[in-house]
Amino acid sequence: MVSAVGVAYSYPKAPPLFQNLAMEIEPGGIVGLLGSNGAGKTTLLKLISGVLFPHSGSIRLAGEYVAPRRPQVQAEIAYVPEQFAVPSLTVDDYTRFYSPYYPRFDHARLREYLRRFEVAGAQSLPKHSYGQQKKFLIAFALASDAKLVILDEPTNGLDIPSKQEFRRLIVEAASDQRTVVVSTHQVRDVENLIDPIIVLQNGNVAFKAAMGDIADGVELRRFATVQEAEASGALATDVRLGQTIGLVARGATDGEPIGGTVDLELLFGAAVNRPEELRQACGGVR
Amino acid sequence: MNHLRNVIRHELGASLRNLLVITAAIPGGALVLGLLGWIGGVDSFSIWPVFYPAVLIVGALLGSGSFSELHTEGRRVELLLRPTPEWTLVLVRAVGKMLLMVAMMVATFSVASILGAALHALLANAEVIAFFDGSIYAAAAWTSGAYWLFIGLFLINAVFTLGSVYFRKSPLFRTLLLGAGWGMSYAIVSVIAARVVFGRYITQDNDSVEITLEGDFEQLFPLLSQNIELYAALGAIVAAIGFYALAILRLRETEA
Repeated sequence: MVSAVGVAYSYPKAPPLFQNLAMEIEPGGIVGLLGSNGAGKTTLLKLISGVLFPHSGSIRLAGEYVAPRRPQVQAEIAYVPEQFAVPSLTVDDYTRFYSPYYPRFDHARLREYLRRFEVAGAQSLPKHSYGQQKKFLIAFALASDAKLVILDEPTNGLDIPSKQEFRRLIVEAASDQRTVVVSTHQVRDVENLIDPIIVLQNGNVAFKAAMGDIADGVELRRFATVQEAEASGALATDVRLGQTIGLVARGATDGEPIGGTVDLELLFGAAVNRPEELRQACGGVR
Repeated sequence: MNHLRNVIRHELGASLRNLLVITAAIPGGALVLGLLGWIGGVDSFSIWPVFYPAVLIVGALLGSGSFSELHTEGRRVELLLRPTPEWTLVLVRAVGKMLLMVAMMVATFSVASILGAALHALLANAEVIAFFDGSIYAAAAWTSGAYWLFIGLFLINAVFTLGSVYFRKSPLFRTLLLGAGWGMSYAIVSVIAARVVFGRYITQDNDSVEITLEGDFEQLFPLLSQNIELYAALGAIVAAIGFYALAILRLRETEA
């Protein structure tokens, strides 16, 4: 779906952010793009959507270069940025004016999403709260039926019920034909939702793997102390409610297995600090 | 054509209310000022002298604000990612809105003028006066005025549209500044060029400069001397198209 080759990008008067970035995003699924602050998540999303141009290299969507911003390519990209400002229009007017740009826009689906998000149509968008505005933009992006939906920090500003509804909608909206890329540092909000995971670090893909491979490759174990976990080769550790939890490669015998799903915070820690070992354990790729 | 239709429906539809407010406020203001003048005694007046400068100023403001999203961090992405060619945006936002503005301005000025004339007839117990200004009432004068108004409007709007796309901060002020700077340098270069080329026709004594060129100018530039207004108009139109084209190219390479 998305193919980035040899991408270099830097902001003026700043060290290069990407120097030779290569990345593939396969069609379908909900891709989690994780990274520390300043790792370049938002910049990468802007490059993928075509609002920034790589200084060298290229990015394609379904075989088409995104940088020339051809209308037929842009109609397949729906991007909800982290920072946005809505025009002075009602929800209904926004829909009336913007939906014709997307040939497969589904009005019935938008109404359904807005109903579930509890966003009223007659009120002016700037008068809605930030969370309501974001929910509207997410609903609009999903209803556009674009092949690539990019959501930058989508759960920022959403209340707890809205986050739950967001997760349900994303699962419903993703398909074999449509890829949803979710960039976030609030990994708890997207746990059990994203698959595969891409971790950005120092301008490169530090780790990328499907959740199935990750579940096959690593597991959570309980240890007495952090020192014990580290001595046992834990890739990442955390202390929760007085208990030391370690993410270890499957097959390790120390510690007590906890079971359950992979913890994204620990996985992220392992991807950032010990990417090689994590890749070896999970069969992940750069 | 689908793209153009979408943009026309979107841009003109979304800005209709604002345009109506602006184009009604100006003749409304002129009418109120005229009516205030009746405090000293009812007398006929015309609001049409305000029309040309108002159209030119609003045309410049429309051009300068035509890509205001580019000056707002949060709105830039939406504009740049809109699935439509850049030329449709420039055509509709700059030219389309400008033409709509002129049409609305004619309508609102006409309404205000008729209202003023009716009030005058009522209060002064006079006949209803023609609401066109005397100087532009004659058909020939009116069409000539409209012709030059449109040419000037296109040029001004194109310059300010380019400024709106090019400058991220204070586009109106910066375009004015750049225009003034460019105008001054153009004037200086023109004076120097004229001095070099036509130096022999210029005689200068202590306190006056005399140019004796008439006969020779027509011999030197027969086509230009016969159609100088036409060439001036063509030059302005070509320049306006050039500025719009530059705006499209600049928009194409603009990043968020």
